[in-house]
Amino acid sequence: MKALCWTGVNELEVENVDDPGILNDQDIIVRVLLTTTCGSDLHLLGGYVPTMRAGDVLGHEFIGEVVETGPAVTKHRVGDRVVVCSFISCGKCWYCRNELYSLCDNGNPNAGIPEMLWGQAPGGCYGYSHALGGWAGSHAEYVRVPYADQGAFTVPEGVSTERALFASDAAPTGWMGPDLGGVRPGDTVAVWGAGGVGQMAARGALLLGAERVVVIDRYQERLAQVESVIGAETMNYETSEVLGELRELTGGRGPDVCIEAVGMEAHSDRIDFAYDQIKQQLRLQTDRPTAVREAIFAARKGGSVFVLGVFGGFVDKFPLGAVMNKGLTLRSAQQHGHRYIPMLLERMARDELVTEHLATHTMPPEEAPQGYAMFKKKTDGCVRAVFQP
Amino acid sequence: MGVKTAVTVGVAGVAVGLVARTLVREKGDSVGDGRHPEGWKAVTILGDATEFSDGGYPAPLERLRDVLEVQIDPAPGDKGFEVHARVRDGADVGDDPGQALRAALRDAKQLFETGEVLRATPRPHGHRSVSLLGAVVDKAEDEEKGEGVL
Repeated sequence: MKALCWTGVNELEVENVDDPGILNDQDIIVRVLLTTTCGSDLHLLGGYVPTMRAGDVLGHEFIGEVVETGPAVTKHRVGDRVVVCSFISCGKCWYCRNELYSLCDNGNPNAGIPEMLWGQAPGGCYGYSHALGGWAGSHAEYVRVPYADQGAFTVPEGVSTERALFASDAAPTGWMGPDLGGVRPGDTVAVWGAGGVGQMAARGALLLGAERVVVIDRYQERLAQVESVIGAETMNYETSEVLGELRELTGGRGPDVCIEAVGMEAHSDRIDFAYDQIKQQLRLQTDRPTAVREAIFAARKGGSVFVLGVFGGFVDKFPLGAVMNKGLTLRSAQQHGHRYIPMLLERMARDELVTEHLATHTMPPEEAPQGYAMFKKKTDGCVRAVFQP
Repeated sequence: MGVKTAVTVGVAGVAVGLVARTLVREKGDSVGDGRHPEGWKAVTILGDATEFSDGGYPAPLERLRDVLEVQIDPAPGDKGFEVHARVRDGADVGDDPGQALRAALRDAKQLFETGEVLRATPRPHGHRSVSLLGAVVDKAEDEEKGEGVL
């Protein structure tokens, strides 16, 4: 089959690779209908995650049709249209039983690698480096889905494939921010990043009862989507004084919940961005925490900061003093999608959650390298490049 | 540009990995990672402890039964039970007893909790070019079950 492979730093190629097969009884094989780029792929593409291997198939956010089932699969049949959670979780360990699915003890066959990096291992993820299992990604014609009764979800008939695609990752990841960040009715929420995940976080905050939600970014076309589709307010950090304006619109308090949906390659027009950029390029820090820092300074006393953006290693000038002295709750996670996807699909069916506007560019897999280039440089208003095998 | 960047990233990545490894290992000096003063390693498993040892341990651990000392304790709260194991003094478990024990504990836990040991390969992939960083990743993956801080 054809698949999009990472071949080196900022290098991608469409190659012929072997088809996947059923290797465990709980597996299914899915024929991919749609698979999308994700901002976190750019960290892999750019070489910021050192456990990538030339030839790895990228992609973790996808929807498809079941074409083969293992003998222990009970939930799915050939022909089912399923959206698959990007994280691979067994559903049986203590973490899964406590709905902390991305922390699954059993979904990452390479647990020894992240243990060396982080002390403990998260679960596995499709197309997301060998630290997260080395699983082949979804930018291919077929994908093997382990623990399929846990991680694949039948899409209701009333939900389009284009909408349900984002129930794989962007929507549950985004929802997790306001949910685990503790958004309550009447809250003011600030979201850094107006990409797919940031938009979903903003929508989630509104649906959970937030009174005001402000999304911060610099790309006007993304901010326009936030206003017109998501229904939140926006702030362009290139033309706004973010901290001052957030303080003003909250009567001097600061947002109750601050959600960072940017990750390790954050941009800013502040001086600390230049500092972070230089240190990262010299590999004196692995990640740029520019947006996290701002979120911490912005949050009200006793508020919470949820980090949705992906980080891999170490950051510098982390304002722990502000966290401590302001009594903040700082929380983060890779997405616990299994706990949210059924509910999100229901909301999609009721049109409470729409996502198809994120797919600004849909193209055949053969054009995927160009799609990633467009997505990385944000040209032509690209929010997500989606591939249709 | 591509090669230069790749080499830089590779070297930096390895350096970061080594630093992380050092930090974890330093911490591990007192709490585990094969450096536990008495060689114990442990996993916590969700389920019924009596079923775990009924008629023998799950196969990956049972295979090493004769060379291991195993202790099973209840875990606090709702976390199931803890399986502590160490290689008996003088037992022959290959070149790296720690590796064998880690792999056995990981697989036994997975088999008991999920009913199967997850297979990662063969997996679809494109051309695997030869590189220093690639070799490091391959080696890390080959040894992963026996490595880590377990």
